[in-house]
Amino acid sequence: MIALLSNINIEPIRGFLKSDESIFTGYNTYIADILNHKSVLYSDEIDKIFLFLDIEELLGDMLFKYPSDNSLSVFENNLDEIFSFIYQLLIKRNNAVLVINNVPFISATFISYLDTNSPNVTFRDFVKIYNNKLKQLKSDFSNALVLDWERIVLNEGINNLFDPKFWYLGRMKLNNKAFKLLSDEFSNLINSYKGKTKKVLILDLDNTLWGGIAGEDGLNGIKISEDGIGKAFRDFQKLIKSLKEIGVILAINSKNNESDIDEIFQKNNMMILKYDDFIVRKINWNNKVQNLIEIASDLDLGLDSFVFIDDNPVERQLIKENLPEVCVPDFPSDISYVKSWFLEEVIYKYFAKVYFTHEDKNKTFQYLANAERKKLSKSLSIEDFIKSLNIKIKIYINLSKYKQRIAQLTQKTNQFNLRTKRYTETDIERFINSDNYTVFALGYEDKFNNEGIVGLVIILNDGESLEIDTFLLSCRIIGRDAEFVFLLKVLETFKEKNIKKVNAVYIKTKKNGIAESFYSDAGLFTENKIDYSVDYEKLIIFLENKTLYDGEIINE
Amino acid sequence: MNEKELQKSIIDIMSDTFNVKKEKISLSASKSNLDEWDSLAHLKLFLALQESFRVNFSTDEIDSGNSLEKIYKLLKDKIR
Repeated sequence: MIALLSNINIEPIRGFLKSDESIFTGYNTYIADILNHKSVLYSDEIDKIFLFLDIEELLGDMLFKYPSDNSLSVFENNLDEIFSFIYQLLIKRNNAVLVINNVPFISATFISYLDTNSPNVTFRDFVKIYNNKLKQLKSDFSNALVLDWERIVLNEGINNLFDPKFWYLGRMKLNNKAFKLLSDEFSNLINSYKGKTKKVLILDLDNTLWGGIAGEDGLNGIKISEDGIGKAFRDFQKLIKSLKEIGVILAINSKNNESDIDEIFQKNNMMILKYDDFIVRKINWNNKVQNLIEIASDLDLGLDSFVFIDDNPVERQLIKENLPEVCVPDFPSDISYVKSWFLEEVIYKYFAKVYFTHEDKNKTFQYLANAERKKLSKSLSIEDFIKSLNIKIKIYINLSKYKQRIAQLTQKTNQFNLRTKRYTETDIERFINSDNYTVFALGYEDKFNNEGIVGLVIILNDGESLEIDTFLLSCRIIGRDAEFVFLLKVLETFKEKNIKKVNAVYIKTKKNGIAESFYSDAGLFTENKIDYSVDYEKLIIFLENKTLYDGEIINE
Repeated sequence: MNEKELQKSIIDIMSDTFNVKKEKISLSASKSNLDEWDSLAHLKLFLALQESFRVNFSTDEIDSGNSLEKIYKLLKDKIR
């Protein structure tokens, strides 16, 4: 099963990852998920983890300011922290594989001509720093794979992959084309990691390895040269030769007179590929299907290890229909495209390697031996992480100017919402003006972002006890303990009021499972998992011990 | 594409996105009467519609297109 982690919402990718079950842990919860050893990431079911990081979100508010040496070093520090979490994950889950993307230079960052003309820091340096961290990660761990998102964006174009309106509507940035490409690339990468790549490249000769027909154009008439279009065939042969050098087996399946071909291989000095580069050669007038079956039996390999290349669509069709296990990519009708076609459609899809050698593959274990005394010695706990965020909580009491936002929060919040009561602006206004109700709005800011008003508590005070009428929080800030600070600061405002008890209710819905344990975690007691209650003073002490940072009350 | 065909293709996409059998999606299906049609599914639906019909919706259109009928009307104008 695949765990999907991200700093943006990539849930729709699940629909494209057909081969495997997957689970998306939530928008921007990846750090909390890594640090929480009870999260799904640490369950044995998960054998693949895909961490997709969006560079703009990593930059946060830095995105909107022109970069400087200072912001670059802040960024690098932030990254070091994030990567130390990733290291922890890789060590703890050394039996799983982690796929993480590199990033392109995104035009939406604050750019101007200075980006290419300034000798000082530019956003390109930020991108470089991130990608270099991946290189380091890759050299430390063999169970970390880098997904080449930069290449995909370069090939397809930013505007064909990103759709900003979904960002504003639901914290998604990518369109379905991007989700499809990402999921294909992810699957290819995993296949390659597991050694499920193709083993044999079977080639036709005439108009495939050279231009023209051996039997008609002859030794010196065929096109294979350094001038004109003959060079395209030479480039193609160079690529095939280097495939052979990384361990791909080459074979010939061609309709020719063997003597004509012998002569070309022996006497045409423009040929890059030599006769001996091909382990099996079927050069005859037999049916190519039959030849291919013989090649399989000569090599003792299954048909699913073969890729067959032929310029003739009829021959390709014949193989496809009779031997569906064999991969038969289309051949470009214009040979000028042969190089880019072979790189993208053949090498990338069928022969791409994750490792050059077996030594590479065993790196994890070398690294693990040193890990404890190196980076891990300063590994952070979730508490350290929360402290390092410099979270600033502001709590606004009965502030009428926020009533629209507050009503909207009650309407739209489905997950971290303990009671899911929906209110209108008029309702909120009524609470604000009432003697018994108090409305608390939560403002949240950390070193990455100012999130604005993201939480709400409505308290009913009957003189002796407090009833939590509403408690909700936007999912954006879950996992940073803000809910406990929020509750504590809210309750503290009743300190002089001689309150005995605090009561609360959790109403389960289809979507608010995430909040199910909140009241117990906060120190309230329950017998039926619906009604919660505790002494006021006890609760204050419990929460004071639990919270790691403070909040500020703003009473305008 | 005539009215029936267009409605059918919308229902196909809905059924795929919501993971709901086609028979369960009536012509009066809407965000308020179909459980599986929540806010995440809503965005996924519009991602899929954009891709399948090669069209673009504005933010307002996505916000307001909360029933099969409304989506049909939006699409009819776009793919003409």
